[in-house]
Amino acid sequence: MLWSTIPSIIDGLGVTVSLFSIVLAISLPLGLAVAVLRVYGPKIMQPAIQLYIYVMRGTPLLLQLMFVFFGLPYIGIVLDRFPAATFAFILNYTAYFAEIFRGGMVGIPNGQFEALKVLGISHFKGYTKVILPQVLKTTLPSVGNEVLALVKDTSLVYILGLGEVLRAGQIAANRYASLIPFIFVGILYLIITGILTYLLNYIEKKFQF
Amino acid sequence: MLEVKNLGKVMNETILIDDFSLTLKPKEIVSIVGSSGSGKTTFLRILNKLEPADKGEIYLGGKIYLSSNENKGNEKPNPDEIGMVFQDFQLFPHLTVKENCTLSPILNKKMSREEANEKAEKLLEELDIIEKENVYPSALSGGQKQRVAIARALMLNPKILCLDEPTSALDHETADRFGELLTTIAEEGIGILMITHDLRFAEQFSQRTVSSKKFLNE
Repeated sequence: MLWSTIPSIIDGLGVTVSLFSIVLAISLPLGLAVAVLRVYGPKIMQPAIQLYIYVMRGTPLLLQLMFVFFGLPYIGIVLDRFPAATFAFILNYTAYFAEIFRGGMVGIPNGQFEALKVLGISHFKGYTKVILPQVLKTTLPSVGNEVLALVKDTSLVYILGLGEVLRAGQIAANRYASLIPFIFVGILYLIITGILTYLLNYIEKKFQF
Repeated sequence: MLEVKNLGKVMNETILIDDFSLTLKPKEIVSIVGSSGSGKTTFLRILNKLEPADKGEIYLGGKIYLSSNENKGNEKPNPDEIGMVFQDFQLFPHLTVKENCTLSPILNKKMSREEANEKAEKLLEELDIIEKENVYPSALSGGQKQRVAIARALMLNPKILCLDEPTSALDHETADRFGELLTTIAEEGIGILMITHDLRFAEQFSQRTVSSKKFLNE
């Protein structure tokens, strides 16, 4: 029966959600760190950071996934499916988040830094207590877009043979020659993005000032 | 108390300030008036160590505060000596009025949170803006923002308060009330140095008015 495919789709959901959570938990702070280096870091580092961001944003994520999983073994680096997917996703999403945060940082008026200076507040304290909260607020809508894109992009790991939710749905659809697993998978994505949209709106409201 | 001696500043190959000297005593309000681009803001920026000076010295209470000889352009301002109110106030938008005031003394461990809150409330009361203590700056008018910016600067007990174009966002009536407020602050022993192109305001509320032409000894 068609119902018997639901557990495998739910299993796939586990892979999707864990991939999404790990990538988000690592690439968000990492993106912020890269943005800080990009804006305030030493000049000597800039070409490397720019090249990294250019390559990550300028090539398809699917290619990056294939490069890490199928390509790296040729030079002796062999990763399992899940770590390979996680690694490629983190590299890619860190670059996008870094560019979003960089945009937020350069948008902070110079006067805010001068106000910190004349109030005798140190760079570090001023940055964490004054600049960063403003950067996070202004970049929240763009970060939200990327977060939703990440949910849907996780389906790309299908190419590596990882049993995430889309792959489970595809197998079920083939087995029963039915459209229903695809609809079910679609509904699962909508539920995840619905919850995230609600959360993002909640955070945005909290950041109202 | 404040003594500026032979200050000089060149910007973009133009001499903006040349051999300029000025004194400011406690309780005194001095205005520097002049047209835009005459170096008024640059002068305040030098005073607040946001800009290096090319020549001269500044003394505070007889002690050297800034010397162009030792100037590396990265000195730290002394907010408990000189306080600054920017033309566009530069309040921190994500902090309430009271938090704007208490941030620096708490972060710099000059006061405990309780002390800072108490002092902020007292200052906001004096500046007649206490009813907005828990409001974010975005909900304030120009005049209200200005009073918050003054309270924020006064939190650190500066000996001198600098104001950059304080009346630019105020109508006549509010400007006059603001002038009276400045007089009260000065009476408490603080020297006030403001730069403005509002000649009427400068003449009404300051003991001395200095033309920015003096920057170039004209």
